[in-house]
Amino acid sequence: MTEIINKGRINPLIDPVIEYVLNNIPPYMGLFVMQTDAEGLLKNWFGPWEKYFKNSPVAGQIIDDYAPFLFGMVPPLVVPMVLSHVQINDKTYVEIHILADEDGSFWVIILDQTRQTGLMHPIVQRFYNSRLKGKKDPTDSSAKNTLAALYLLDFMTFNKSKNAYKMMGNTPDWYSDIGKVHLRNDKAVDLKELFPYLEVFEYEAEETWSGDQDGKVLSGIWEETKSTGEKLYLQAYAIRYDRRNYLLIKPLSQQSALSSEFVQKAREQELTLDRLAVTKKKLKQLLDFKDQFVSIISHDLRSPMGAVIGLTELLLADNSLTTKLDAGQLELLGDIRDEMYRLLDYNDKLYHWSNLELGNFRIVKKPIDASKLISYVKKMHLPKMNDKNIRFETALPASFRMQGDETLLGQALNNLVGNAVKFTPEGGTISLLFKDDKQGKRIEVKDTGMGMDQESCDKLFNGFKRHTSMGTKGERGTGLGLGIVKKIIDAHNFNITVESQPGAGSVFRIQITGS
Amino acid sequence: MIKKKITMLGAFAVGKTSLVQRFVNSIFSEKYQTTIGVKIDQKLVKIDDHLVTLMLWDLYGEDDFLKVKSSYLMGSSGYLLVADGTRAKTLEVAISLQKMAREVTQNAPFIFIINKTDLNDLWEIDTEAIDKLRKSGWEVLLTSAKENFRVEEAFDKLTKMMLQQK
Ligand SMILES: Nc1nc2c(ncn2[C@@H]2O[C@H](COP(=O)(O)OP(=O)(O)OP(=O)(O)O)[C@@H](O)[C@H]2O)c(=O)[nH]1
Ligand SMILES: [Mg+2]
Repeated sequence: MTEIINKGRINPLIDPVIEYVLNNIPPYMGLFVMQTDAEGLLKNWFGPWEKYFKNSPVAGQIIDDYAPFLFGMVPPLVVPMVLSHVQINDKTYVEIHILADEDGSFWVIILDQTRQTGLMHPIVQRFYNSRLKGKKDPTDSSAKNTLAALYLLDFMTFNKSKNAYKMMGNTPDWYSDIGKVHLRNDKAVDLKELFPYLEVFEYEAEETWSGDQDGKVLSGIWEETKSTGEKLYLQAYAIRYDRRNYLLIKPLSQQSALSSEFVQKAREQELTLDRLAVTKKKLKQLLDFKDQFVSIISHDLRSPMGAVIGLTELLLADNSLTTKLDAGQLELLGDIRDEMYRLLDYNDKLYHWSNLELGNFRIVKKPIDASKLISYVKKMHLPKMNDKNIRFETALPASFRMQGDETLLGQALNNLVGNAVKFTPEGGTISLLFKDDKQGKRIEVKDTGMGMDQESCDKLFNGFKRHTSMGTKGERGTGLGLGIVKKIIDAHNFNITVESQPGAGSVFRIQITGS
Repeated sequence: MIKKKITMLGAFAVGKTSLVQRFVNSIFSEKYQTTIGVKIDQKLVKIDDHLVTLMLWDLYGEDDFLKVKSSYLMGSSGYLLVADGTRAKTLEVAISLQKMAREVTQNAPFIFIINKTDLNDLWEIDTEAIDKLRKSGWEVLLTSAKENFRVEEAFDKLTKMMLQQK
């Protein structure tokens, strides 16, 4: 039998049956045990040796001399070693278990499996024969008997005639577990009442049942509930064999239970992922809302701030007033104006930031007059640079051409240069250089400031900075500036990098592509 | 006695089993236990003086790997097409399943159930989508198996539609 199995050419119909026989038949009959020493010499034996052997064992005999089928198995490769359905002579099949104990002896346990194997053997043989030789088994009734005995292997078996199903053999244990009506052997059963699922399966089975050839078809799975509340999964086979029709029902093996667990896990995971995606979407909505909010507020704050600045400027320009104020009061008024400018600048940056986050800026690339950009940036920062006695260098090759959004790029350069001013000490130099050479087109903002370490460089463009660093004269920033620059450059599909070392100044490089 | 088959159709975890269990056994469980294959329950209902035995076929849910086989639908007098209001994706699955069901059952009546109304703040299927389906002739019902909201109504309504069909 093992030989037949090893050929792996059995009709797939009986594979699960064989699997069951191989895995689940309990040891129950004709237990015979032998004990050997570490060398495999027989020491003791218990049980009915005459069931399996012609002669009695002899102490000190090599075990595979006594039982040749054990050749090469003592000592065993693994412990316990279990072999089923070993045919040891014409009639006898056994299951062999080999164990080792702590004293270094081996135990060989032999169980009689002849009956169970005998049960299966005709089926295996018949399908095997009919497949290989197309020959018919003359003993037709034996098929009937073996099918009727399949309940021992957990199958419910029905014979199907034109309109009726008759149970063959007995009901397996699981059937009583699911609390259906009692069934009597050889009486017609309303199977579809019992298992409504079969109503659908019949449609599929009919093709096989009414065919000219032997064949089988496997149903889908359905679920029944045991009286303990446990679930039981069932599956049916429709079989046509030798112009007769059968229906077999079998609970699913542990293996299928495993795969159902797998399905369950996969689905639970997918549900979790779904939920995460929803949360993410919500979060994005919330963030958008925040940006919208900031955008609106900062836009609306602009005019009152402008008004306050205008008023302070008016007061400062009013001679009749300023002559009446002492130096301290005048300075206060100047401070109000300066602080308001700072506030306005901060507000503008917020406004730009939130709009960039919202994606409200649409980039329209047009040819840009770079000299205009330079003079704009220069104008914005000249007073501060003069204050700190910083030299401002610019370079622009006559042939330099580029495309982009002038306002946004102006804003970006403005931020970069503003940043440079902040971090460059008195007497330093800041350069705004437009370059077009072998390394491509680019804009560089270079300073001789305090520079920064690699870590700071890496973090530079990541949105809000938690801590904004102080400038050389204690200037404060908004922490928004470089984030905005990055957004603007990204929106252009340009690339921005920074090169810097502590104490050695910094170079911000905008690499211009595609224009 | 009249006997009718109703099939539960929909993506996985939309609440098909929960709806049937609510309707048949008046129970609800938060725990998700996916259905393998099909589970068949029965319930006797009385509709306009008719006693009808409903055979409720609770199918496994469809996903990318497990497609629902059309043979399960054979013999159905009607079906409940179920989606999960908190997962917009399940609406698409329902729509594609309906196409299949329409063919197999030869236009048997159905009700489209959007389940889990109790999860209001996670809701994903908007009213426009629902209106659109209603305009195209679908009977749409929003339910909660958890809070027993309109569950019985859904089954009763479908049964009535099936009885009228003949
Ligand atoms: N909040 C809420 N949860 C529900 C509702 N209905 C079902 N659920 C939950 O949703 C999950 C899936 O429910 P099931 O009834 O198993 O879904 P199903 O459609 O049968 O799933 P499959 O058998 O895998 O196709 C479970 O955790 C249920 O508790 C409802 O109305 N409200
Ligand atoms: Mg289910």
